[in-house]
Amino acid sequence: MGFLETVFLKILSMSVTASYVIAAIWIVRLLLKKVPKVYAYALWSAAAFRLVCPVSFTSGLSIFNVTALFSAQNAAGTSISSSADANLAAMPISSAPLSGIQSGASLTAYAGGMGILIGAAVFVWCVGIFAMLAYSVFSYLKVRRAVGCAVRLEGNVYECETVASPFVLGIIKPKIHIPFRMSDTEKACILSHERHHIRRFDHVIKPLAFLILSVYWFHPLVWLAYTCMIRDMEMSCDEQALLLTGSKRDYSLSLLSVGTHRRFLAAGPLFFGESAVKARVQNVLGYKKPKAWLMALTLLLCLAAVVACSADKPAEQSAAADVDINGMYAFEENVYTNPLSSFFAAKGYMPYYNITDDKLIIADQLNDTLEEYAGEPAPAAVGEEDFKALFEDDIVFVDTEPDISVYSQCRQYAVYWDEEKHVEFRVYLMDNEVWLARFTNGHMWSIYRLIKTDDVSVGIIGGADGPTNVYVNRADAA
Amino acid sequence: MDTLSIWDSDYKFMTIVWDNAPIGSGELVRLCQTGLGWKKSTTYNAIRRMCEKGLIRNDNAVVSVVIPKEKVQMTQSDSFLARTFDGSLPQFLAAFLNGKAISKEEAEEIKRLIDAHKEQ
Repeated sequence: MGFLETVFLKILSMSVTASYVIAAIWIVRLLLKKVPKVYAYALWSAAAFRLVCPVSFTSGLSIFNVTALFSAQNAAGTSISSSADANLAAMPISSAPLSGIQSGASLTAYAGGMGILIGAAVFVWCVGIFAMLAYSVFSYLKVRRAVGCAVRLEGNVYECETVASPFVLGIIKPKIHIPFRMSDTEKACILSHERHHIRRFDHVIKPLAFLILSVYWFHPLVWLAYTCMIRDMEMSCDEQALLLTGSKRDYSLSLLSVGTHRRFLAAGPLFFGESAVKARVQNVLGYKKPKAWLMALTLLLCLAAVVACSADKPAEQSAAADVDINGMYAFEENVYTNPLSSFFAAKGYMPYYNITDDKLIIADQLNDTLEEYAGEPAPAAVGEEDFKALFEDDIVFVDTEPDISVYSQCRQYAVYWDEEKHVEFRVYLMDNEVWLARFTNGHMWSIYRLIKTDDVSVGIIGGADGPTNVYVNRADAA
Repeated sequence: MDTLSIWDSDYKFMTIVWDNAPIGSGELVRLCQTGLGWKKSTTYNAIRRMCEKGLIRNDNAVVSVVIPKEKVQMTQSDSFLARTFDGSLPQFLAAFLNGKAISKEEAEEIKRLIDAHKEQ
């Protein structure tokens, strides 16, 4: 069940990102009241992208850049596992508990209460998805059976007495179904509307949108997005059909006559008829083909909106990050120990590390040693494969190497060495974590995760000949 | 009863029968396929239904007319609609996904809106 749980938590994280996107689209939509509805309809593609795609490109245009103005920097040590979470961490709303859950490393640590809770949530979620899909399959089969006796009028248009309002059925070979006894004008209006739906592949988009809705059934904003999208879809189709029909009056009357009789054969997710007649009539009556400049401006605005909603906040500039790296660090956790090593650093291990661009100083209070290593910056991106290659995995059967795939940004910062002692240190930056890797004789020996402690200073008493005493001054010490 | 009433789709089917009777059922299936877009099973269902209504006869896979066209009229049967699609969707879900059914008052209001609109 581990896979499902991971997927579920990913979906949760994506749904938070999508909430902001849906809200943003909804606001932009309000601005688009006077222009053709097709633009509003197209905007929802950004929401769909966010709900389906766990990763995205970054752009300065992203809406998530705005929130960076309000919130503080990420707390050191918060691990972020994906682009979605990178946006999350900057949100004014506290998302710390959620982003804590996202990290793959934390997931495996879950046991007991939290694990049961997540397991129960995943179960309920799956039941919800199943219910949604079952409903759509059921209603599709019901309608298919009902229109079995539909007679073909022409091409892919069928007349049927079991329907009171027209709809399109079928994804691969869409068939338009209309009631009998429609007047010629009504038929012309309705058919141009439904044909435009088909031309625009709406009969494929609607079921796909419902599929997304089924996965996010728990999210009220996704329901809002779905209904708004359907409405925009219908109205934009009205506007196009109107251009072909010519008469607003005729078209509105056909909408009305079809709407009045709508009682049965409820339009469902896999096929569609009309909805919200009054709004559609008002939209049709008030429709004005906009001037070319307005259309161009709207197109630009919509493109910008789609990009802004789809893009992630860009990663922090490395220059700014480097300034923060230098400083004093304490040991936090032993991430890796070479199986041949007899030494395992655990809590209570107390050396302090002073990291600068060209020097690494390790001060050990307990042993009164102060080691200094010369070094140099060595910025480089670190890929998963490169990192794995640093370990020799033929020594033990068990994988003890740390998994860096949970980090979105892995960089090498600097290297330090002592040729005589055959020892080398490398400082890695895994998202917001600082790792110190020690190599002995060219072999990876240990990796410690360090935590910045700026309120500590280290000093040494004594000289090269006499005994040395390393003392540590903590700013908060009594 | 002097005149029988049948539904639109069955009437279209009967028109094919009236125009071509007596006709082998296989041939009838073919005609319904091209003319109405019907599957074989749909046609056979229709043949059975019309036999039950006493409109046609099916002897040895030959379909012939019992009641002629003049005696039959077309009608839409509301009761059929009610029987098959009896509010099986929960009301709120239906309203949510489809939009509310419009009331008589709303229909009249919309009609007024349309009439008031000046065609450009």
